[in-house]
Amino acid sequence: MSLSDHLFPARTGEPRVSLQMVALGTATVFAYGIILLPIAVIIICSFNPSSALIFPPERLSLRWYWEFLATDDMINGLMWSILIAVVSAIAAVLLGTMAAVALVRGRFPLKGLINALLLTPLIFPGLILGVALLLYFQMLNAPLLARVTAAHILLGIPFVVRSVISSLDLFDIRIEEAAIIHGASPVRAFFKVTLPSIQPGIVAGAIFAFVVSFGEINATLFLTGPGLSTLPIQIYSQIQYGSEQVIVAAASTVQMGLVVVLIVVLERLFGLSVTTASR
Amino acid sequence: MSHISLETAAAPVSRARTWIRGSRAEFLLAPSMLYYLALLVLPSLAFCVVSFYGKSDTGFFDGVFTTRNYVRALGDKFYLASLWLTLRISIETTAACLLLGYPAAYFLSKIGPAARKKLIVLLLFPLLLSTVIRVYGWIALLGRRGIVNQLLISSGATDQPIAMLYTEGAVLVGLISILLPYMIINITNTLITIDPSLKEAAAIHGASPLRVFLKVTLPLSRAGMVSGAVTVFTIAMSTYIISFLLGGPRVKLMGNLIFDATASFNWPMGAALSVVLVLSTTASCAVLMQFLGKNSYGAAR
Amino acid sequence: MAIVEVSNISKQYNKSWAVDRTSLTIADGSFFSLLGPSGSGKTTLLRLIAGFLRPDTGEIRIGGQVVNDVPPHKRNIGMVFQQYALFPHRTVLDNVAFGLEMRGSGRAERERLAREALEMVRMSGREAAFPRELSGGQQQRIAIARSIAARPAVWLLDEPLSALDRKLRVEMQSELRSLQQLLGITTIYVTHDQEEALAMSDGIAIFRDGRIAQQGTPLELYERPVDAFVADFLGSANLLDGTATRAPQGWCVDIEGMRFPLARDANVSDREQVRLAIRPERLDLLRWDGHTAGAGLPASVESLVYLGSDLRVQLRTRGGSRLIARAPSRSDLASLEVGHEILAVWRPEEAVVVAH
Repeated sequence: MSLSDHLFPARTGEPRVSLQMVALGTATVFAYGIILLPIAVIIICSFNPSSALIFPPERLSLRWYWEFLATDDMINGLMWSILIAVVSAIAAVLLGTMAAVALVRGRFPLKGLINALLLTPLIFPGLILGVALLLYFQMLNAPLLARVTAAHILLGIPFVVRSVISSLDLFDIRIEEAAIIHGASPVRAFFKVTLPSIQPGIVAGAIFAFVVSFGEINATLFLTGPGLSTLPIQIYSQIQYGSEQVIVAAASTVQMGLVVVLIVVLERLFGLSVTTASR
Repeated sequence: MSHISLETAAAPVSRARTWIRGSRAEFLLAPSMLYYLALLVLPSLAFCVVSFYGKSDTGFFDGVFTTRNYVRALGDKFYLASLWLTLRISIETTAACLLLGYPAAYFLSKIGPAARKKLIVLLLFPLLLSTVIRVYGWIALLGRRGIVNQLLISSGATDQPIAMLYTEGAVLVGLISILLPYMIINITNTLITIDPSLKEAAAIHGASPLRVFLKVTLPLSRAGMVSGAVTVFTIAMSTYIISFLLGGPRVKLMGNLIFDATASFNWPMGAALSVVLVLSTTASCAVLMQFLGKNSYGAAR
Repeated sequence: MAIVEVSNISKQYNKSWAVDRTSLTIADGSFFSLLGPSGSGKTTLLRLIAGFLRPDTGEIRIGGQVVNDVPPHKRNIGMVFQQYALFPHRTVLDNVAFGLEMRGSGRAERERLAREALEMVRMSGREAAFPRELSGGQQQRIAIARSIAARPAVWLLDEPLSALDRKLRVEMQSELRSLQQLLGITTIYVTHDQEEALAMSDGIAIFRDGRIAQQGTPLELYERPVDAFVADFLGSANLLDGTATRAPQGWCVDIEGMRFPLARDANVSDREQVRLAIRPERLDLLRWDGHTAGAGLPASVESLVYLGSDLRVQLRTRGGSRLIARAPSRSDLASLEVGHEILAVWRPEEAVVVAH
């Protein structure tokens, strides 16, 4: 079997298959280019030593990473982002896991509707969620940290619900029943047998909740304020008002790096495919 | 008589009562339901109510019922033009994503599963990045002193930088770049579920490869196109950061007007525009589904 | 209608030969079965004839024309797929009319021919239904109608009845056969069910490891299997090992110390180790006291099973071979009990010398 046979297992004896695949491959490269080109450009430019975006860079330098580390706003933004992402991921895991277990195990009416409601934040426009929550929080006079975190918890729950439900669907409930038969109390059986079995789903949900919070801007833009802004908000204001544009590239690459590390951890530790939990 | 002992062992297992079952599960649902009530349902309802009030210079709203905001949102040329622009750009984005995404999805469905998985991960990675980052890449490319202009000038194709940023075209490119992965993933997922023997059945009964595609593959991948189109269209409709950063002050989408209304403390107007945006998005999606059709093909036995 | 010729065809999959230098000629208008266990290459050969696969070596001719480079849609073939492969988005009528539509018939013409095909499979009246609204058996009939509506030159059937229950399967076998005779269409039928192949075919090729172990008419294959594999695959066969001997009355074989005559046309040499294949229903059992010498192979009854109208007797010979005999349950063997001593006998022409 040749390499092309391996890549394109032919199903029909159509002689022009390879020509067709070349055309399709070209279209695919074009589509991927549109998607990935801006990301590649940022990564390359972030190693640019000068303060203008010169492409390709004449030489590579870490200057803008040092500048990033020396810019208080950026570092504060990064710290707030990590804090908010960690807190909202934990809260989303607690709320989302309970809801998922209830949906899989429970017998009550309107199950489909409740499931749909739990997934609404996935399709609810971030802009409108942000404005509606801003008005709501203004009327309640809620503190800034609570505003952002509360919104991010809401945005993280659907990812946890979905990945935990798919783990629970794979878990054979008779294993939990067997634990009870062999002397475990029902509560103990749940925590010692079921919970460890669905742990990959929980971890995947947590990582997705973290990543969503870490990058969210559509709703977040309305909920931050003086003294509290996340890294994406800092990047946003730097693009608008900042004099030093290249630092944005460095900040963006830092964020990408963190996302990549998390995804690699997810794949390595749990052998999970990121395809399972994305929307 | 081993099968008998197995049965006696199995019977009690099926009667073991797990901790979370039946109505007890409802209590686990309570925290998330309360949370959704407090942070999704109530704010949305309050927002809808506020859209029927007048604005107030001292508070959030004047508390007097009025339909004035809606009359303005749907009657004023300024708002109508923006709604139309939003619809047009969203439709153009959706159409472009369909045209660019379908061949790529078709390619992905034809290659081996291992290579496909790697290429899909490459599509998912951008979705995990902040929108601002991906927009910033286009600013770096399209700006006055951006990379494209640098390359054009150094190659002698032009001596003056071309204005590409802050145009409707830039917004369109940004939206397509950011939303295309959703379309490709949705269509690919549908294409790979099509039973290959259907294509063989079409071929053996006389359909050329082109007609196999037109008569079998394309109609059977409609579900993926619909879900991809709905996702892309919905997100495009509520865009405001992409249009603000790439389109500048001239490209005013509904999202930007909602942002502006909020920034000028006209909460009721912002709320009314939001309701109009959500309703027009929903209505357009309904039309889109009608247009592209749903896959029912008769009730299953 | 057309003759189908396959000469010296090979196809490699993952470094092993799925079809290995196979040649076959299927006469115009005949019903030919490709029979074999799964993975034996019969489906691969069918897919090569359909044009879904390209052969690595050899030639395929349909109606005298070499079709190696002809894509499937130009081969004028009709095919019934294992899981029917009906188009879920088309109505029954549009499914059946598909081949006619592709061949460019006008709407009125193709509807007329499609309705005619539906009538042949007795599915008139369900034209507007979608496939998923039909039962498995009904979908099967639609798939058959679709494959014949455009009157193709060659009809391919890929284990079409494997998903049906036994009663429906037997019914469909005779319907398929009479449809084939009505249309006079050259038919290639893939199956792993030997009863099906024996009941329906004019010719059968038995596949083993990518090669044809034997081909011929059902009778030839059943009565004169070339080897133990064929004998055993086409209905179980009792295999007995012995030594060929030349005796005054002709060729004989010594089995477990007993001497049995061979058929007149047996092709053996003196002192050769031979293997005999005897069908269970061709084995006769004689009641025996266990002592007196008799002309038969001594054995004892190990177990008895009644399978509907059949009685199956499992025997163990003195030499340890296991034999199975099959007889109508109303025969006098019905009085046999486990432990009885018997003599197994057969007519010389019922024992076929097969390759080891």
